[in-house]
Amino acid sequence: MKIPKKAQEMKLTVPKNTFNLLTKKLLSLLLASMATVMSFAQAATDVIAPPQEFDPTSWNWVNILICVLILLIVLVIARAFDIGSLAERITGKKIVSAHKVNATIGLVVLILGMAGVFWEINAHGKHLLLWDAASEHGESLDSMFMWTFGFTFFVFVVTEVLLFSFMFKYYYREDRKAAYFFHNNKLEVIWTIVPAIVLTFLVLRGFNVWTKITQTPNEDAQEIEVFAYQFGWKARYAGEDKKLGESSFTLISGTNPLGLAVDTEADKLKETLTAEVAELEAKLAAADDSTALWRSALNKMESTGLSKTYVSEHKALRDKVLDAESGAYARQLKKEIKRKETNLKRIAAFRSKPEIFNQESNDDRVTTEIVLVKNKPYMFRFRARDVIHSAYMPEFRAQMNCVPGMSTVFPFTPIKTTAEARASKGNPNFDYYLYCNKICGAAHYNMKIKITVVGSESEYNTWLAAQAKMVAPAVEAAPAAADSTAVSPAAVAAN
Amino acid sequence: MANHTSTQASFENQPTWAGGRSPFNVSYGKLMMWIFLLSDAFTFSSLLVQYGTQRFSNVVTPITTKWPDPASIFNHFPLMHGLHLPLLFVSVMTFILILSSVTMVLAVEAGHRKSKAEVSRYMVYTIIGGVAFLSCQAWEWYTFIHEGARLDGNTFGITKQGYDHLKSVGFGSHFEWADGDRTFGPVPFAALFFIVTGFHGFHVFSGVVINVVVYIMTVRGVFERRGHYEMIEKAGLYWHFVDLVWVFVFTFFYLI
Amino acid sequence: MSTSALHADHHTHDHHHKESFISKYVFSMDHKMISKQFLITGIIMGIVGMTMSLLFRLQLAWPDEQFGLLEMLLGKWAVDGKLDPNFYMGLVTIHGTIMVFYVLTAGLSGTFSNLLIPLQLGARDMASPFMNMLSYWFFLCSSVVLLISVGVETGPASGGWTVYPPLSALEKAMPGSGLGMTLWLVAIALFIVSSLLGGINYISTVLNQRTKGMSMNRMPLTIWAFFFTAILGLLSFPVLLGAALFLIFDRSFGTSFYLSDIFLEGVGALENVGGSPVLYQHLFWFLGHPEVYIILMPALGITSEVISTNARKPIFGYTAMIISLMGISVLSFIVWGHHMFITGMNPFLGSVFMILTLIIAVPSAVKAFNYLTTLWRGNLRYTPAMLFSIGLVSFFISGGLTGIYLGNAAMDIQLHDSYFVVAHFHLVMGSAAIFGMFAGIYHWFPRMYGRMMNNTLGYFHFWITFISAYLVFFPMHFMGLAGVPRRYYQFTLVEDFSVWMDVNKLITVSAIVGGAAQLLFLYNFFVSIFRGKKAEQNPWQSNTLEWTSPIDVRLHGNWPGELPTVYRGPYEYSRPDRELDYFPQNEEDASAPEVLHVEEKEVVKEEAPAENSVFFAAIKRVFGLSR
Repeated sequence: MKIPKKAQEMKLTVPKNTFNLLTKKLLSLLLASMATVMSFAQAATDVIAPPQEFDPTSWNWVNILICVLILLIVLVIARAFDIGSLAERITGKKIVSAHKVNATIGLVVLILGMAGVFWEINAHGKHLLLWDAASEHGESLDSMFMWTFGFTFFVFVVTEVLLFSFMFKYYYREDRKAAYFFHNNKLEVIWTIVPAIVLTFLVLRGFNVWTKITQTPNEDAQEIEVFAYQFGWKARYAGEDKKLGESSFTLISGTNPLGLAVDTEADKLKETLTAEVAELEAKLAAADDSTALWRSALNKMESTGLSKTYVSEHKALRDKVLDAESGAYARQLKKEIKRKETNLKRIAAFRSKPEIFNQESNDDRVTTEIVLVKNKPYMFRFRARDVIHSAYMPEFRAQMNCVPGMSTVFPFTPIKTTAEARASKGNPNFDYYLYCNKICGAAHYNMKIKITVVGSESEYNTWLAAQAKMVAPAVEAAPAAADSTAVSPAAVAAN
Repeated sequence: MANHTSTQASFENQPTWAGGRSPFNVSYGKLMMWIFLLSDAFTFSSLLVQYGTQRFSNVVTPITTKWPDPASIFNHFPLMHGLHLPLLFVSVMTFILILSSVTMVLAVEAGHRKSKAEVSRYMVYTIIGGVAFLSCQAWEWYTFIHEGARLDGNTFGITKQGYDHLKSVGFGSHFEWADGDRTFGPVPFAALFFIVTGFHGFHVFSGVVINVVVYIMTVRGVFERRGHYEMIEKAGLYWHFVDLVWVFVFTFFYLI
Repeated sequence: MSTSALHADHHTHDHHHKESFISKYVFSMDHKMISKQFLITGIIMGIVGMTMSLLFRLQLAWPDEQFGLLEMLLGKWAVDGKLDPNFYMGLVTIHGTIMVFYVLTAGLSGTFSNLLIPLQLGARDMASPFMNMLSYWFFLCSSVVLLISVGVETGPASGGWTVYPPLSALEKAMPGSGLGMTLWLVAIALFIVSSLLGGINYISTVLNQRTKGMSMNRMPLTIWAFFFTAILGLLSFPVLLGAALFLIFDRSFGTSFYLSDIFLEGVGALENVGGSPVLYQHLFWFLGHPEVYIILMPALGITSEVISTNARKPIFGYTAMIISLMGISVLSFIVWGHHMFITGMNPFLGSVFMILTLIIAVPSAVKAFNYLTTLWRGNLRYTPAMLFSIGLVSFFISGGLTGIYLGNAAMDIQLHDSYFVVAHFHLVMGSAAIFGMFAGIYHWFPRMYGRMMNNTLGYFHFWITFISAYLVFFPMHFMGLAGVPRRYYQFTLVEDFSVWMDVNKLITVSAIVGGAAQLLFLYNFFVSIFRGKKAEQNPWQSNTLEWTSPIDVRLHGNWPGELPTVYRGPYEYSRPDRELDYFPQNEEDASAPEVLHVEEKEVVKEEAPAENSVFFAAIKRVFGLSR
């Protein structure tokens, strides 16, 4: 094939070993940075207690020695590669085969890695939630986990060992020739059938457990409603009638965070909304005047040069004026009014339905803690107010999403009291928690509610009696927001 | 391309899948159009799945649904005010679109005969059909919006009579009564109509643009010089697909 | 049927003399240049995505530490050197989006599908070079829009890369759901267009543009993988487009497709009723699950090719490999529900999805065992590409096994959205696919740039990356099993989780070391483009066609004269009757000239030509009809 002349001339006139030189420089740079990072990490791990800035004096000798050691090891490996290429250049023959070096590293990595795996199981095994499920179904789940673990861990060790030992054994030598075969039906059938059988076993087990957890009706189970919002949880217990009353998102207010169908609350909300609508309408009527007012304020600010001192205030005012003048402000007000009116209409529609406002909610208790009785079956009903949350109770092996506009359920029976769990974990401060496990906003990481499992019904009853009922609300009304553009009173503020 | 003839000769001897030729005996352009249509069918499926889900979530009992009856809403016809002509106009629209598909078939057939005059004539008919369909759709949207259809709400529900009946048999709590003479229907009803027919309308519009381009190319004799009218076939594939999708949209939105 | 229409290869080889700078490097229609463009853009996006992960790893390891550097970098998002929780979510989201779509979908399959499909099939270019170019430019626009979204005032999209509504649909629900989310949707829409343009092209090229003798069962496994990948993308991305369309309407036009019964803090009860947030999840995961295989399968294809070449040994079970790819592709469309076991969907549906999900483990196991057997009794040359392929197999096994836990609906109750999931998918599709990408880059770098990359740097790059990747992701399994949820901004506020702070530090340090190792790669890559050793024609003594096209000059049209003719499959390494340990596909066998004739005889015998396809070959094998 003919190569165009131009392409030949393009050959760069760089000394042969420039690349190698650069390589070495870069390598040493990288190693230095790695060493710094390592010691930084070490230092940071050392100073655990008070959060403080990085203190260079905390570099102790051990750290530095470790860094030097790592550096040396890496350099030795680098030399090994280099000697190979140097000797190769001199003699034109391969002396140290890169293949052999890599094969050896592979073997070392395998041994160290497997040791690391066993060390980690040893070191962290005690933190895992594998052996002491706090719920009835959790035990069958744990046993299934152990079966799966046994199988997968066996396959993991065997295949990884095979992989790296093949790597070590069959590295390239010029005098060898690889075997020549394309397939082996018997072998392939075996490793199709065997995983299939094992998986069938696991699937059937999983199927049974899953069906048992999700589809076992239990008429005796007590219903508890768990309600999620940005960013917290509430629980609802039924009163003497043993029934959780109806609820709707249209009825949510500061004093009725779950939107329960309670007459007094609905009336109160209706009044608040009506007042808010009237206020908004007044604002809308005066929109032109306020626009002029703001405009003159802005002009004043700009003419007096105050806008240079109060930059952010100036920007806010300017945005407001621009909004008002473009009509966005009025549109926004109209939208708000329409939204509130729809809400009012919906409340009215609900109020007219006796099958919803049936007084069942009146004796319900809304609590900020969940208390359960050991060995008693529960049916959790989940609701969400704003976005999707997920109720995650790892100790009970329970999780279910809370979806706005949809009610989800998860049943379980706790079998270990908080006190028992504290004793078995050796941690007197231990508590069960329900966490949020679906990304839901900035404070997602701190959205939890305490679960206490008590040993006897009487303890539970004492606790429940102390919780306020809906009709005689002990919860105080939310402080009315000063700015009425911030619409309905904040629900969380009340708590 | 010196090796052209030899390649051609060997085509005949090669097995279909052995390379060096198209296994389906189509050009890459037509193949790509088929693949694109397959993909586009999935887009429409996702829209129709959304529609189906909404529709079925509003079924109260096997025979009762909160979904408004399309025949009682789409019962207008231009210049015939006040008459109850359920689905007549949309049937006309469908007929127009199918007719334009027929003229497209004729154009493709004329293309095979390399008859430039006939191709351009039938392309004109097809374009007219497409434009007519789009105009009809515009009128349909206009009427629908005029009657109060909005993206963010829905005043179309079941009638007062139906509501009273359902209330008497105990399904009253499923409905919210509106101020007018209907219940509040399912909110996504109108929005779904606008999105799905709008997305289809966008396809028809693109189809018309493609057809116009192809028509201009035909008139200028581009295909004559090229020696084949394959571009007509590709445009035709797209046009038939759009037609087929309309049949589904028509069935789901108006008939069921 | 006219032949001129059959062939898109009207770009003759003398074409390239007339190319200007713009048409050669910017708006190039040459698949080789487009593949380089995809690669470089992918690498840049990869750097961005990796840097983001390091930023949030810093936060997780030292939540109370103040990093002055962060404030300098991020301004108001890291006041006093502490990362803002909203921006943390944004980083997590954009990291996921970039890695999944931009690096591992476009950067991986865009690069290598473009480079290898025409070259390994013996075609002059893609079926439609123009659409190919469009595909790249849509991708570039999409990348730019996504990067811009990081800088907007209210922050980037921050509802996780799955952007579940209502969080992503309500502007007031979190700052990131404002303009950032809108830009995210625009970027993804552009990305879908790019991916569809590419996919249509890949499929029709594979079907129509194969050279003489390149029957389907002589295609390298790379091409098979790209082919199935393109089909998956073609059928699943439109569904995301539909889902995104409804989301856009919910966000901007007040519709209620995914919204119902919402009371928002500081706003009040919203008007929306009747929608279903879960429907979005169904539509999203109908794309989302095939997407996982869109990411992984090209990497598996590359690995098959690299392992076979460097083991100097035929790939074990060529047909089985194809059947398992096919099985994975088909199954991937019907298992999406396993992402949603605990969303409150019908429990019976959950069991069905569980069964289908665990069936996928079988073809995956077959692939893993086939790789092992290919290595067995080979003559393994450890080029960096080979090492990365072996690394891929290791990750594929260890990450794949944990899939058995997660696919099991009952166990998923406990493990869903915990760190176990993070560990699982980062190993099996994150690290594995990235390693496949590295393997591809090291292996085909000479093909792309006509020069060699430095091996020593490659070895360092591999070992540091391999070890640090395991150090990062392996301990995460344990955190997950202890019930630590993912996407938490810090763990010190929950006492149970604070025992993991040491592990978090280990993970972060390993991540930084692993990140630093990528500098080696970048240096190696960019310096080698200009100063690397000149490559020989066939540096790896490979069989496939891409090495027969001249390596030192760039021809738009790939081969100077006639297109090569193919006489055998791609994996004839170490044939006992040959002195050389390889046997290029286009080399006519002098000792056994009947190879071509056999085929001609077959044609006479069998009138149904489809018999020759690998589908039928597979069926024949299953029923024992062939040898």
